[in-house]
Amino acid sequence: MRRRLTTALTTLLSRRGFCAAGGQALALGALPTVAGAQTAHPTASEILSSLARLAETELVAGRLDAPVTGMALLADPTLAALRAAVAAGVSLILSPETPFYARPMDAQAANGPFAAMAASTVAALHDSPAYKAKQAFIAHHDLTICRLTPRTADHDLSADAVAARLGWTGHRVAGEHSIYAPPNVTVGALVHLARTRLGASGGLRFIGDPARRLGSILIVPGTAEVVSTTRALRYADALLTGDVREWEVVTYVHDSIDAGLPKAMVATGRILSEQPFLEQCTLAVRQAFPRVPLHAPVQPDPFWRIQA
Amino acid sequence: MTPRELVALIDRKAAEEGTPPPAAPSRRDTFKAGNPDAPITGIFTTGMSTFDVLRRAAAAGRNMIITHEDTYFRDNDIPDFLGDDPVYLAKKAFIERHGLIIWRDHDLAHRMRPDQLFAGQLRVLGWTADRIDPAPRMPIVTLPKPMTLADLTRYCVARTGTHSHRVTGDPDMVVRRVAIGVGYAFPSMPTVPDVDAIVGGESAEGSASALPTMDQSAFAADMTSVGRPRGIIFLGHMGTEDAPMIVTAEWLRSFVPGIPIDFLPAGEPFHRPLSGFDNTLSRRTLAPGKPERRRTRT
Repeated sequence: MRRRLTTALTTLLSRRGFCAAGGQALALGALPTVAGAQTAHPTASEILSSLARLAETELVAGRLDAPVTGMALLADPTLAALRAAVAAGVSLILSPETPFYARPMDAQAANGPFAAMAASTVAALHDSPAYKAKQAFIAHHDLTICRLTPRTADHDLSADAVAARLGWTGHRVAGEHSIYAPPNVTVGALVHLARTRLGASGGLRFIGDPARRLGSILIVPGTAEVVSTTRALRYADALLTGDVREWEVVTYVHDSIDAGLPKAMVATGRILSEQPFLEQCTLAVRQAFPRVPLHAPVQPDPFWRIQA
Repeated sequence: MTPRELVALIDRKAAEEGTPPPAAPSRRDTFKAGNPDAPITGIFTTGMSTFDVLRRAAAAGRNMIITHEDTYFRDNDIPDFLGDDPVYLAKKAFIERHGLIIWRDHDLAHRMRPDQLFAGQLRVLGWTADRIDPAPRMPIVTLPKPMTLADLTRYCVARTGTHSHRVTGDPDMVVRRVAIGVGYAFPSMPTVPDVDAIVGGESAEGSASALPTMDQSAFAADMTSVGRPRGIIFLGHMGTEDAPMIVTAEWLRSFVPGIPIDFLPAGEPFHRPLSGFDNTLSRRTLAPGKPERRRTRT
């Protein structure tokens, strides 16, 4: 059974993705099977049910009862990525992000002291060529788009996915936080891993002495919120995250060095930090719906920099 | 003069200069630490009251820090979430041991006419604003001559000295007009349709936030995809709101007699990029017609 599954997975993933993500998927146990798995064109709803154990799902565009001719898992649902997906025959897009740049305006912004400015910003967005083109493209191609949010009830599966990509499966420290204790990792080595395993380049930023040895690393994919992250960082030497606010966690980590309690931090950028979890989802839907064409590009670091 | 007397003087001077009053009392611009009734021995303005800034201020024998950003890792500076956090306790103990007084000058500095942070950043960048829209009051600059996004990045990095900058957009796109942001005050790209690029500090990545906060990089990428190339240069929070606090120091010196007042840079928190992380170019926001390298698993 394991050999058959392994063969199937290797046709799906690159060597790097298989070694990291595939190993973690096996560690998670049997992948789900759902009704409709043998249907050539299952509905979006049926496909989402195969991800129930991994992610919460939210319909962003289209219909859940639409038959799926092909599916794409995109970390970064840009217009260029949507066009490539449609060219590959895709009708269902799954992504940790919405293609419309943000969640709808919240009530506080709509009614607060800056309500007029917020309203004019939203109006300008809706009137922009990018927004209109994207909406029209989605409507024209009858795309169904669903947002995936990793489940965190037991522990953060997206952190496990990043750890698996780094080769740290089995090194998770017991406890409530997503802390891992891989052997022989320095700050510089963590930066190198972020580059080679997560694809970080121009968007990568870090704090800490590159030669400093790290006993434990907290992984927070996505955006590192200050309260939960600083609490968890008490128990770890370093933070590996995607996006982070500079007046919050960044300053905390920076101050820790002058406090004589040095922490380190590596930020890859949000999109790259979400990609390993998306690959876990890719494995799950591919296993559940092997007859549905799958488009799962590895999307690059959206940032670049010049030599300072 | 005491810090409390100084802040009262600052408020009076700002009002005399026509600074509009706040809509509500500022929760940011308050004393964050120390005794506001102790005599001032000297003042440093800075972008961020980091532990390192506090050490250098104490070593220089000055006891008052006027910081633009927070001290305790959150905008409201309420440290309750930190509890017995050792980093927080060490910083607090250092402040107490050295008798430091910290006052935040955030909302007032942005309320001034002109906004001291934008004025300072324009000076750093060597530009003059064409216009400053009524809202959100972020300067628009027509460059002295058009340049590519890559060349504009080189220019901004050279002027600000930032090493932790990040850029999104086609490096070869031509930039004629830019919008300026400082800190997290970031021009929303849809509201400035006539600018080619934003030169700002930091903004949220991804789409987790609610509008009007949005993923500016993704929007720039999509504008590029519809044939209207857009770029963003992120210089970082301290790449845009640290050096501009020079303006605040100069302003204070103009009406506060007998007290040494200088700017003390907080600097960038990030380490210099290691070898191999420079000169890397995005493949997300290529100009139309350029092939995108893609690895697809089917």
